[in-house]
Amino acid sequence: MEQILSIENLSIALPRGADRGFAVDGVTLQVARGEILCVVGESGSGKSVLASAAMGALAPGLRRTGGRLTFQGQDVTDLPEKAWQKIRGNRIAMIFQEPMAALNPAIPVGGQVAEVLELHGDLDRAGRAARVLALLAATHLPDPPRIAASFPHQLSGGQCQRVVIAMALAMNPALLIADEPTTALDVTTQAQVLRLIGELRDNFGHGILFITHDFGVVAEIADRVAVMRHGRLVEIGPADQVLNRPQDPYTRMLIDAVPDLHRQVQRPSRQAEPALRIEGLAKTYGTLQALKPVSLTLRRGRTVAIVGESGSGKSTLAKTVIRLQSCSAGRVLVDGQDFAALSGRALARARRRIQMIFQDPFGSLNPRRRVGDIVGRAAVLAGMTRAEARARAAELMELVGLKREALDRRPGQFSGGQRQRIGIARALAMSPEIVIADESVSALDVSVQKQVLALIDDLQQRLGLTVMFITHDLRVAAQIADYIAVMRQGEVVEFGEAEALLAAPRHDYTRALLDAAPGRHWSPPRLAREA
Amino acid sequence: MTVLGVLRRSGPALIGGAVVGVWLACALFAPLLAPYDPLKSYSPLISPGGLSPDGMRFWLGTDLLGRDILSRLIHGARTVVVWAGLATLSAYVVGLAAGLLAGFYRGWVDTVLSFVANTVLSFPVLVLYIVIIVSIGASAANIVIAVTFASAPAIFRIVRALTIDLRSRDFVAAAITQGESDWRIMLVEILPNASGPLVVDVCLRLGYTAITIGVLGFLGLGLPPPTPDWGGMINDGRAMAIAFPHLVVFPCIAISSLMLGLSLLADGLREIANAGPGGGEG
Repeated sequence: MEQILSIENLSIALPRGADRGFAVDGVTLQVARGEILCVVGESGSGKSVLASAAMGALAPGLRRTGGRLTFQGQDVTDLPEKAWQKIRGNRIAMIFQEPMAALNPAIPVGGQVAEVLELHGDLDRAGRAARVLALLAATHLPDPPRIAASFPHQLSGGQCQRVVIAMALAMNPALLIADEPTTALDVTTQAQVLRLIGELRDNFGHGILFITHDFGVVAEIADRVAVMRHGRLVEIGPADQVLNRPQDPYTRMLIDAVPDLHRQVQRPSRQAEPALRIEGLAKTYGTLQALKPVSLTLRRGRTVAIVGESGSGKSTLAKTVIRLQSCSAGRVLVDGQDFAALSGRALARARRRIQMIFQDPFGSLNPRRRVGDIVGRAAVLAGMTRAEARARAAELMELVGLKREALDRRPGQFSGGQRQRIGIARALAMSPEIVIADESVSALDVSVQKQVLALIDDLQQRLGLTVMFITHDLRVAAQIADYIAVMRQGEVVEFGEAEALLAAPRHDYTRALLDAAPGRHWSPPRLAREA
Repeated sequence: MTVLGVLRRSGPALIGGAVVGVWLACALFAPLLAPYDPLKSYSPLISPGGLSPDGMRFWLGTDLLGRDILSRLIHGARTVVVWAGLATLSAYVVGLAAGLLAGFYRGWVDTVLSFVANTVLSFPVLVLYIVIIVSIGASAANIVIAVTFASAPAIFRIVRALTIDLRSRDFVAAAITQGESDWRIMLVEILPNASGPLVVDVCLRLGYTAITIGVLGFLGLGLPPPTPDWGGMINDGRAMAIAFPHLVVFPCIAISSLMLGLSLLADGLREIANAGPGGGEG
């Protein structure tokens, strides 16, 4: 097989004072014609630095200290910037994570694709215009002339990403480098873009270096898989082998942490009295109905996952239930008391019964306050004295798997996963009956995500919590939920017991969501324990 | 981060801090540092470094009434530091309170407060000062009132913008879901996180206020004589400035150096704030 890109023993040093010496440490890999090589790893694994090195565009401060880079038989290791400019966008093209950020908002997208042709090609004006339309058509954009004349803000995220892909394809490059190209997209859009990238490989024979953190995406698209950790390549091989029979302990741990869409575990009986009844809850902004009347019952000690794409109203539902915003109509009954109708002191008192775990572990803790003050204050508000609150905070630290010393530090000194534990401790400090988790594991790496999910599950069993878990990730929902509610355009389109709903969805949209879930035919093998 | 830590990390902040420190020391220890009584008349219009008939040396010379310029500058620092400080403080109390309320509650509170602020801001500042002082009379307390009235709207706008941003953060949402009171959310959750840009603004605003006090003194709307006042000193020496430049040059240098020092300090602080976002960490 013809090798397009060959990286040999490549090392890239980080600036002095970084947490490790090398961003990329002795990595060797090849990308062949017509294959997709997925480089997968958690944050800080060096996968994005590797991608930028492969296109000769290292960020300032980074320095290659060893190794060789060969592109189509030509040694490009020490190529000067001028020569790289001729290759980049021409024979090697890049697809970025944020399509909106990759496009210039002030120029129609057709013009931006034409610019690439003008820079590298020798077509005349008419030839360029024709080629632009052909490229837009090749990426399955509807009505190419209209799209070409549109500005980025007039297109959806998925359409923008197609335009970016069209730009990348403009000069028919030998190598495409895609750095998390679908991470910013909704799951159904992601499925379409992944299908498009697969088609490009099949029809044009591009070699594709695909950077991702998502094993579902890997299972969907990869021919071969390279797993990176701390800048080192820990395992590389055919997709089937790495995904189903991983050899390296780290790979095994990672794959074991991926939640399975086809859950086999049966949960104990689900009969329990209602803890929270949402009745006809609605929210409108001006003329926009963000939440059409929604009714939902959460049973005590059970988890309901609310799944949906962006704009489905799932976060609006959470914020309205917990009174971060007012509702336009409806009731939220907690033990027969209408939480939505409370105000003033009665509301402040009742708030401790419903608590929230937030999405962003970096934004949900006040950076100026000590962890002990953050968690302790919640306990004080729930009615404890300062001394009791202090003891409670220490107890909670141990409950969520942190040390007591954590109380004296500020949030900046903790990792994302640890901060999420602190956020959970804060929610629990008020001894709530109901916990709403809003995308609480979306910002976390898969191994950390597994730990946090296990913690929430464990706490639920021990404390009998009722959990409303908002997520866009069906795998996570499958892992944690007793019931699943599927939302779309402000409505719950389907609600049911998790296994039944996942195995036999009744609504078309649920079916579409499940079909779009990347790597849906792949069940991660359960093997870490044996290792 | 300590004040010393800040100064060590930035050259401009170090220089600015030193200049401001010298004037602060002058203000604090004026009676000890000043070689002569600032109000006593010795011998008029002695040139800098010159001797009076009875053999006393005046390093910066004396003014029309024979008072020592150096001593008057040192005591004048006290006037500037005290009244610029008080006026800025007062403007900040008003601007902070209004900005927090408007940014936190939005709605009609914001509409009303923003309207008032924008109305005040639409007048030229100097005209505003003159109108206020002329109508309520020239005194130290009235300078504080005038500065508060003219500066608070600008502070209001900064605080309001910061509050609107911080109000949308999840840690504020967390405090709300805990049933925390609004004023505590504003003071404990929001205000400390807004302090970075505000500290920079305080430095700059102190400088502006010092200049304002100078300008008002120059216009004869400042502190009543014979209080040593840099702006007043320039005004007093204005008529004779060609023949005796030292009458105006030294007070001008005093005002400029204080302003420059505060600006450098603000620049340094901004540099440090930008280098480490979320400066409260660690």
